Amino acid sequence: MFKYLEIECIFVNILIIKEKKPLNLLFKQIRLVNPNDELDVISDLWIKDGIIKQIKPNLQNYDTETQIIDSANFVCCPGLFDMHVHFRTPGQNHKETIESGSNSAANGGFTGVVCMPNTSPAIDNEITLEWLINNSKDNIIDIKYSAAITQNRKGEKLTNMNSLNDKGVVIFTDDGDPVKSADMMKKAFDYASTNDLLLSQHCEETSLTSGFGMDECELSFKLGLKGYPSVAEEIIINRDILLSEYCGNRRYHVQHLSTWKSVNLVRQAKKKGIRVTCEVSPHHLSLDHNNLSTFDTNFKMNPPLRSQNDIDLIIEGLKDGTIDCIATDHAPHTEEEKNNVFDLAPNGIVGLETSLGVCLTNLFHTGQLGLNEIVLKMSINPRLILNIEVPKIEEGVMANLTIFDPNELWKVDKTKFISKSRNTPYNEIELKGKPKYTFNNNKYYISNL
Amino acid sequence: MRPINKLSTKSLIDSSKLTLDDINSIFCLAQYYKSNSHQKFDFHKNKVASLLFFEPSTRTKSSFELAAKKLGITTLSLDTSNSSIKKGESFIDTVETYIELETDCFIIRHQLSGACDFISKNTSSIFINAGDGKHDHPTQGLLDAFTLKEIFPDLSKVNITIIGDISQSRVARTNLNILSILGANISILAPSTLYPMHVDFKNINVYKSINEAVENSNVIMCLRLQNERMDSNALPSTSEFYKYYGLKESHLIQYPDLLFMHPGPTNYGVELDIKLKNHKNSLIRKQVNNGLYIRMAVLDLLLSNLS
Repeated sequence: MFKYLEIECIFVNILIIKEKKPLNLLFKQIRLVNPNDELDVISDLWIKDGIIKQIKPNLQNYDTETQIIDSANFVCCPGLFDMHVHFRTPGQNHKETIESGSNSAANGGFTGVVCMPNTSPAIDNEITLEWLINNSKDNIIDIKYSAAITQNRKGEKLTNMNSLNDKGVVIFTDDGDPVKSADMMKKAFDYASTNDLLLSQHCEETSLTSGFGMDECELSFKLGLKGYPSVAEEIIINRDILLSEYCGNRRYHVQHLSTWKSVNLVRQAKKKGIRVTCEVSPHHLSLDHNNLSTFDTNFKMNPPLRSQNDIDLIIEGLKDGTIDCIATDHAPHTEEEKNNVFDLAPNGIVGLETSLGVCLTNLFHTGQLGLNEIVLKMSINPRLILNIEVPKIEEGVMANLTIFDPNELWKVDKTKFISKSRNTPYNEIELKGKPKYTFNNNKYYISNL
Repeated sequence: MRPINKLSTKSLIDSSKLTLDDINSIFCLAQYYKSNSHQKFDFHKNKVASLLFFEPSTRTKSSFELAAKKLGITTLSLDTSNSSIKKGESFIDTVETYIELETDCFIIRHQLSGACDFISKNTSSIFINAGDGKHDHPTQGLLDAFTLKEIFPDLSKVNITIIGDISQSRVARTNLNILSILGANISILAPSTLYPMHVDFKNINVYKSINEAVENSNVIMCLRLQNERMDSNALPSTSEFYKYYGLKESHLIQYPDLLFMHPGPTNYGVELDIKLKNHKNSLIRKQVNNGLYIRMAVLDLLLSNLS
């Protein structure tokens, strides 16, 4: 035990040193990409004391102590933002903490996240929220909070949504569970109208999914695992879109959609002018349900992995703008919890440290999305959905930036993860595109991946 | 000399991973044991087999126990169906305890699909899956196919129809796997709620009625309704099931050559007419008897692979 603590202290110190080193770096010949400002140029980029000091081709007037980094292969964009993570605090610090989760995010190239409220106790009251916000300061990443729609996420009584909103909540959801009752959801939409709050949903008609193991498909039959039919997701999306419209076109965000019909439902709703947005996780656009053939619990999540046809049409949805953004649903679980008989293992995988690599590999290098579009989905759009200011790449502003090499080949090594948990389906998978530096709040982080 | 060949697999967990050679080796040795049924053997007299049954069983457990004893294997038996072992951790702990008790081979039944696969990945012992949830039950499929092959040496000329709870039954899955490997003509008849609608069965007929099934089959394989695994509300009533899917005496009168099987335990008046209990065309007792020799063969082959 002592030994373990000692090692952890050394480890934490290294991270702190990295963050506190005087920040004075010049990136030569870097591609600057910010589709929000229609920026896409190659230039030198000088960052000093956390501020973008200068942007200029062939920049010469830097300090003698400036560290020069050859960046001809690098891309710089506004810091990546993940609007769906689980940092497990309070209640399950053995899986993740605010600190380990933030460092994991920074290691994956993220400068901002939204934590989900399915903690223990749930984030459904002002006291828990304030405690969390106070414990999330002075971090390299900006940690925003969601709060539950209903008290204790039980679907029975609304939370104090307006005061939670006043204290900084950016989105409301009972994530982990859906708001089951249509009546409750209707009341939530009605109540949200006063301050035009954003409601989002983990879309699962649970009467169709109890005891599920994986997608309902040929393999679920073969393995004898209870199927999670795609229609269970679509029923709730459809219900909520109708309710949103009925309640006066309320803001509504579909979390981690996984089926092609879900994409169609959102597409149709957007066409009608309903204020619906949605996200997809990196795993739902890169892995199909056939990966479960060996009962590997690192492929077990909710919603489950779907078919290749779903993946193809999800990518179509990303291309035509139906799917606004990519969010990891970073869900840490310990190895002991995951190493269990399939039906007894918990759902979910970690995602922050593989997200960028998985998306570049499966979307950019396949020619499906350009780099500008990737940046839109992973940095700009989540902030726009949440009404959070999008960082600028301009002289004089605080550096909130991600620098990555879109072409570097690397093999995922889960032992390098900064997250406390290692439950990834991507271990030892080769990816193309890797986070390199993360800048935010006058701190920087060099990815160890 | 008993005919003994190396199997392609160290453990018997998943029937779909068996090769035709594996199945033939098992059948060949089972036939040997059946021909020498009154003999006791001591090929594995220093070996220990542990029977860990986390779910109730009568015939499978007794059959394995006797098979082991006839080979001179010492058996340890744990009946956990009444205890509350539900967590995976205690499952591993239980198995590890029996490893320390010098177990060479585990025979495991568990209520969760993939349980045997899971435990085999966490320890290095030999495992025989004696039924895991809805997933598989390899020796049942082997004994069913062995029973059929005794009557019909060339299974490609036989029409077999599996009737009943296809969705929940591990016996259905196992038989689909093994009979497919052996090249039999397989058909299915099931109420839509007990039929996996999302599965595209290749090379398998799907019948609409029991009359159609009995008319076109040489053998009817009835399945037990999996009440313990069934989604509630999957069927309006067992009487309605019997009316449209039960095998009745009238069918045997109409088709006197029709044979029928059942993995047991049978629900008479649901899957089978009580009047067919001791019918001459029933293969049920043969199935039970052959199960013993199949399990002797499997134990012998797997333990011989080790040495």
